[in-house]
Amino acid sequence: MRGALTPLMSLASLVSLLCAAPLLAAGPVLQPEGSWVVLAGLPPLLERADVRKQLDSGLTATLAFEVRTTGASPQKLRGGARVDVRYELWEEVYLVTRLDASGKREHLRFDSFEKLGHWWREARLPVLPLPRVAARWPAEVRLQVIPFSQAEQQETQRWLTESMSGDSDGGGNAGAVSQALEDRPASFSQVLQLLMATSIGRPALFEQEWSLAFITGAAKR
Amino acid sequence: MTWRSAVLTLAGILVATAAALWLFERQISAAWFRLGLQPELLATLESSLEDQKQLARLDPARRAEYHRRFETTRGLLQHLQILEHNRREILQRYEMVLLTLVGGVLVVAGTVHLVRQGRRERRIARLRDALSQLSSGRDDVVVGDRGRDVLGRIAAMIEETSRIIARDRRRLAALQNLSGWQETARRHAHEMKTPLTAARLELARLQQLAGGEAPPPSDEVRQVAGSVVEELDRLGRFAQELTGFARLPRPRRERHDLGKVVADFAGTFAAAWPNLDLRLEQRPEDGDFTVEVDREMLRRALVNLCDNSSLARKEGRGTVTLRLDGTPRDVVLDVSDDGPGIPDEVRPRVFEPYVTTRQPGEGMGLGLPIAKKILLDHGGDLELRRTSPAGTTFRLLLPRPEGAS
Repeated sequence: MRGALTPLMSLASLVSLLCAAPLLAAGPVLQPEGSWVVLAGLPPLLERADVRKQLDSGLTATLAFEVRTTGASPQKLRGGARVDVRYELWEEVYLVTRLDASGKREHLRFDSFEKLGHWWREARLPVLPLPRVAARWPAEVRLQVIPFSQAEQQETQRWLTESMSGDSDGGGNAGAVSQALEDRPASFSQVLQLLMATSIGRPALFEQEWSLAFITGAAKR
Repeated sequence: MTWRSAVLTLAGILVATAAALWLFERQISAAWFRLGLQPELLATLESSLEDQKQLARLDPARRAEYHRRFETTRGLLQHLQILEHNRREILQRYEMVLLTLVGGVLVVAGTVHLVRQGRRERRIARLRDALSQLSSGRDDVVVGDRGRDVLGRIAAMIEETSRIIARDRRRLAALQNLSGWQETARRHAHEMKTPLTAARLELARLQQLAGGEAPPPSDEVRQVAGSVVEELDRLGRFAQELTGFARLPRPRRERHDLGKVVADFAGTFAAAWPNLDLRLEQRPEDGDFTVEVDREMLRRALVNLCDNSSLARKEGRGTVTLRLDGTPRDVVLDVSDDGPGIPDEVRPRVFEPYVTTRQPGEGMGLGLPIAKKILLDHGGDLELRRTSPAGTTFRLLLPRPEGAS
């Protein structure tokens, strides 16, 4: 039985990859817009099965873009933008927080995944201040999908610490991780709790890079 | 155990621990982790969320309560989801902590083991040296190992053996020395007795001849004859004393309670020395002081010691204390007086014959050698324990019989 399942699973993986390939092939573009370089044509990765599952989990997924000019660029520039998406399980709405290089923070609310997907595809995220030098600017864009937020990570660390210490009232040992990080550990068990709790990180669920370019000033002509 | 075998043992322990750790991780810790994050549990929690929402829709009056339960379940679910995301990292950290702990314990245990091993090797080397010294004839071997383990006990046994050898050598040397003196005394006594007997016979004949004549011998002749007889008697006593020393009998040893023997002695001889009081002490009161001893010979040794104490005391009354004690090996009898002590120049030769502090003619200095010989013949010894102007203590050592504690 197990021997029969393995080829089936391999086939399923291949099919899902082939299906996802056209989605991933469409990459973003960098375009000057006003005094900013914006990232547009965001890749349709929200439809990816693993990303979709993560978005619907109720945890705050972060889609972080990092942009840096490379190669023959006149200047080394770095910038980026991020989009935090949390599906509110009770109200069944997607709560989105958009933060871009302009410093603008925008809170959005979508009552369906389709609307979220539409917004994502149409979104234009300022990622760099527009350079005054006229040139062609090769750049690398890196996208990371982080499955949960730092606050959720810390909350789980606290919960794990309490669970390990057997303190389930949530009061006695609350903040033991941060306490242990700040102070000298009071006991061996606290050190162990600290070691275990800090093993909870925020590994990226998905990463992708694109090599793009944008053109500014006279070079445009 | 050599260093090589110690390292091999440690390596074996290390491998065994690593295997146990691997088994523990595979079979227990990972299994518990899987159990805590099993997909059915997550699915059930997700389903519970849906149920709370449904219930809230169906019973809006209790919406707040369902919402609270929903949030609690959601929190737990999210914690588990986050743990699931970090499953590999948590397991790795867990293994690292476990490995570090076990490694630390092993390093500490190994270090302690190696240190102890090194110490044991050094102790064994000291024992080897001590045995080598012992076999080469030295009788002052000191190992200096006061451990309570087997090696410490072996060290104590080596030192004890060394002490016994030293004591036996001293006893043997003393016996040889006294035997030489005994032979000399026997010859002197023999050489004295022949002319002494002849002189006595001649004197008797002379007295007989003089007695038959008329007129009878004058008072002056009788006085001279009496003086000659007196001197010959004195010479005879010296010869007898020499003979007594030369022909000390072999002890006829019988098992006795030395406490009782000494008590009898103190009772019998209480009035033997007008200037001495005899006092008896016994420690412990109910101790076992059984020895194999010739009572008469031991009594003779004690009489000699008391004689010396009495003669050494020029004036006043003194006390001789007979103090009985014991060691695992010997029964000890200390004979102490409160006399003037033995002069420094005499002390090293106090057990040699003819060494005396008395005036010529008052004694031949054979009392202590005879006492020493008696004790040596019993397998024991007589030692000068202490002497000072406040008094002198001689120690009589008598071995406990075989099988006695």
